[in-house]
Amino acid sequence: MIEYIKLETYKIFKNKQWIAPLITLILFFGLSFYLNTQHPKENQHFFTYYYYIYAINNEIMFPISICIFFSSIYLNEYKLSTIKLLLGSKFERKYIFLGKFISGSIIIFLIFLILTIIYMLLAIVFFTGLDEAAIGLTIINVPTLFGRMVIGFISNMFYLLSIASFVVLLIGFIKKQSIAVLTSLGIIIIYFFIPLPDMVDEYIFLNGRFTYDALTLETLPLDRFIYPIGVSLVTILIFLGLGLLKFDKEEIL
Amino acid sequence: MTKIQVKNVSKIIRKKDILKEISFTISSGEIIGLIGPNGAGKSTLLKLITGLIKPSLGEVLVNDTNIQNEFNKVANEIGFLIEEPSLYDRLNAIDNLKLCLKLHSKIDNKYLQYICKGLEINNFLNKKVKNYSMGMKQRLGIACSLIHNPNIIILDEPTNSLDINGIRQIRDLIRDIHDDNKIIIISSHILSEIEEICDRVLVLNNGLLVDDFKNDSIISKDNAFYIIQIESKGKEIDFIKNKAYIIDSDNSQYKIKVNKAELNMILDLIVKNGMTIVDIKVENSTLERHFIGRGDN
Repeated sequence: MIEYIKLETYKIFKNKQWIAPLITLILFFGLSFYLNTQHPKENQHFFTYYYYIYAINNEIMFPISICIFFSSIYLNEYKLSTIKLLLGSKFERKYIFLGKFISGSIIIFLIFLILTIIYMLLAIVFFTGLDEAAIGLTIINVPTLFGRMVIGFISNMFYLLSIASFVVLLIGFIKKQSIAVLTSLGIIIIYFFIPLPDMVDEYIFLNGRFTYDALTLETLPLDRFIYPIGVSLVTILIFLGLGLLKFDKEEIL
Repeated sequence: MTKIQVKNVSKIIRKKDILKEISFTISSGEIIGLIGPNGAGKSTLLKLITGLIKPSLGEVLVNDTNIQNEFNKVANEIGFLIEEPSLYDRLNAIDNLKLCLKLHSKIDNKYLQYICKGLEINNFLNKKVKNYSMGMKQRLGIACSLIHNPNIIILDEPTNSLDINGIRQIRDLIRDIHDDNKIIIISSHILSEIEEICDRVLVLNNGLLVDDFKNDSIISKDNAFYIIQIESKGKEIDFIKNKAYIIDSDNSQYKIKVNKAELNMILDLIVKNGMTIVDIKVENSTLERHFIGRGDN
C-alpha cells in the first residue's frame, strides 16, 4: 500500500495535478483575507481572519476545489487509458483505489496546511502582536487559540475529505468529470435548502461545514468537533467501501 | 515454463455474446497471431487474458493461476498494449517508462536501454508525450509493455500508425526478444505481418474460435500459387485447359493459376505450344486467402 501511495503521489506531482487546487485555493484564501479587511477595523481580529477562511469558503468554494481535484486523479487515468497500466500491474485493485484517495488527501492536506500557515503569518503581519485583545475574544488566550485552530483545521479536513469520498464514489458510476463534479455540488446546494430534522441532520456528513462556528464559543465544546469528525470518518469509510466494491468489478471494455 | 489456458470462455457484454465458449492452450516459445474481422472479439479475448475484463463463463489460467481471482500474482509476467497506447501525456518518455517499471518492479536497466534502442525512442526520451506523433506514441506504448521483460507479451495491432521503418523495427524486436520461455500474442489486420512472425494462428469470427493452425502448414512455399498471364492466339490454350485453372480471359490473353508442383510442367507446355508468357506473379498471402475463406463461411 505504502509503495503504491508513493507511486501515486509521485504521479500527481509529475503530472502537475496539484497545481489546479493550489491556484484555486490561493484565490479562495485570498478572497477571505480581502473580505475580512473590508470590515471596520474594530471588528478585525487575528482570530476573525482564521474564522473567515471557513466562513467564506466552506459551503461551495472548497468543495468545488476538492471535487475537481479528486475526480481528476481518478478520471485522468480513464481519459488517457492509463487505467489499463494500473490494472495490469502488480498492485491489487484495492491498493490502487485507496492509494489514490490517500495520496490525494496527503496533497490536499499539505496545500491547506501551507496556505493556512502563510495566511495566518500574513494576518500576524497585519496585526502586530498576538495578545488577547488582538485575538478579539478575551476569554481565549494564545495557547488556547492555537489549540482551537488545530482542532478546527483537522475537523474541516475530515469534512472536505468526506466530500472527496462522495465524488470518488460517484465517479465509479459516472465517468465524466463535469457531471460528477456538478452532481456533487448539486447535492451540497440542495442540502442547504432542504430543512432536515436535527436527528437526521446530525448524521449527514455535509453538516460538518458548520464545525468552524464552534471556534468562537467562549468554552470550546469538544463534542462539537469530535462528533462531526466521527460522522465524516464513518461517511468516508462507507463511501470508499462502496466505491471499492464498484472498482473491484470494473471492466475496461 | 509459461502457459496460458483459456477454458470454455464466454463473454457477454450488454446482453450480447462477444465470445462463445473459446478454448485453447498456448505454451512457451509460441508466437501466436490472432486474426479475425472487426467485431470478431479479438480485443475482448486479449483483455480477458490481461485481466482487464472478467469472463462471464469459463476461466483463463496463466501459469495455472486463475487470473480472475489472482491476477496480481502473474501481473509481472504479462506485458500488453491493447488498443491505444496508455501514456501520461504531461510526462516525457523517461518518466512514463519509469512509472511502468515501478508498476512491475522488475527493473533491469540494460533491458530498458535495449528496448529503447530497438524501438529507436532514444531521440525523444525527454520530450513530453503530448507533443508526440501517433507513431511515436505507439513506439513508446510498445516500450512500456515490454520494459519489465515479461514472459507473456500481448500486442493488439502493434504496427498501427507506424511507417514502414517502424513496422520493420517492431518485427525485428519481436523476433529478438522471443525465446523459449516467452509467449507472444499479436493481433493484427495486416495478415502479411502475422505470416512473417507468427508460428501459430488463431482465427476468430463472430465470437467463435473458427480456426487454430500452425502457420507453416498454410504458409509454406509448397502452398504458393502462381498466376501466369499468357497470350494464345490460336487453339494452343486447349493444351493447358485441362492442366491448369483459367481464372480470367480477355480475347487472346489468359490468366491461369497453378501451384508450385505443377509450375514447371505448365511452363513447358506453354513454351512447347508456342504461347507467349506475358507475366508471372506469385500469389503472396496464402493466409489472407485462408482467412477470407473462413470468414465467408
